[in-house]
Amino acid sequence: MPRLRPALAMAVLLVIVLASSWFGGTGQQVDPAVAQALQNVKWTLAYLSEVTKQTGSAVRAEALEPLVLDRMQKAVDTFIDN
Amino acid sequence: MQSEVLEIMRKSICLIALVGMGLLPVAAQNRIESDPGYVDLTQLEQRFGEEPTIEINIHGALLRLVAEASALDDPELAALLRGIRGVYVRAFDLRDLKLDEVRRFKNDMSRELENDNWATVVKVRDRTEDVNMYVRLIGDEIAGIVVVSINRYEDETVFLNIVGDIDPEQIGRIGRKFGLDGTTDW
Repeated sequence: MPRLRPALAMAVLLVIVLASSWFGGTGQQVDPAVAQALQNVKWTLAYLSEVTKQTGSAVRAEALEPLVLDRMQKAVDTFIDN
Repeated sequence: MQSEVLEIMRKSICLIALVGMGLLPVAAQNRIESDPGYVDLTQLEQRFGEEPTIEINIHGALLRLVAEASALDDPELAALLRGIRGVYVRAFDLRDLKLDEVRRFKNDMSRELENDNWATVVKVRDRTEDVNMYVRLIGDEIAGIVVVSINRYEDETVFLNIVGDIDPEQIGRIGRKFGLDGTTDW
């Protein structure tokens, strides 16, 4: 029986390693700094969306390059529709 | 003799790699500041003499990590973020500032941006709100967006700069998914 102890210890160790890698892998660990940065980015996009939505009806396009006008007009139309 | 030459070459390559790795973060920082879509908002604190109530500076490796962190939950957001090179925001409480000074700064900034080939795409001025949005195009791509907002109803002024190829329609669509309240704890 004492001869089996190292093998038993190795088996237990293997189970612990496999279990920790399994459970560790299923829950995505995000660094708090990255999570905060993600929140900040979402807030910025929400703010930009809100500002454009509020001002959408008052867009004044003056001598804009056709591409800018076209792209922005599509965006503003979408905001107004929603 | 041959082994000595090989050893010298190996050491040289290691040295170049180490120097290169050390310079990379500096180079990345310099790149964003020389980006055509970048606008320096750091001068605002000095100009107004007040600390911002909201300060966001996200670029480089952090922005890439944010994109990857959102990839699983929101692939559309991740795709948008991969095209962005920087996100910068400064917001100030208007009650701490002189409104005339803020307006003067906004006009100066507007003039500078227009001289620097930024196009004014939104200009709104009513009783409570004063909003300008600028876009800079390089070829067919948007290099950056700047929003300057003075909101007297909410006593807040916000300066925002997003650097990168941004589709305004995509921003609108994605931005609507997130609320201004509760998405962040300042």
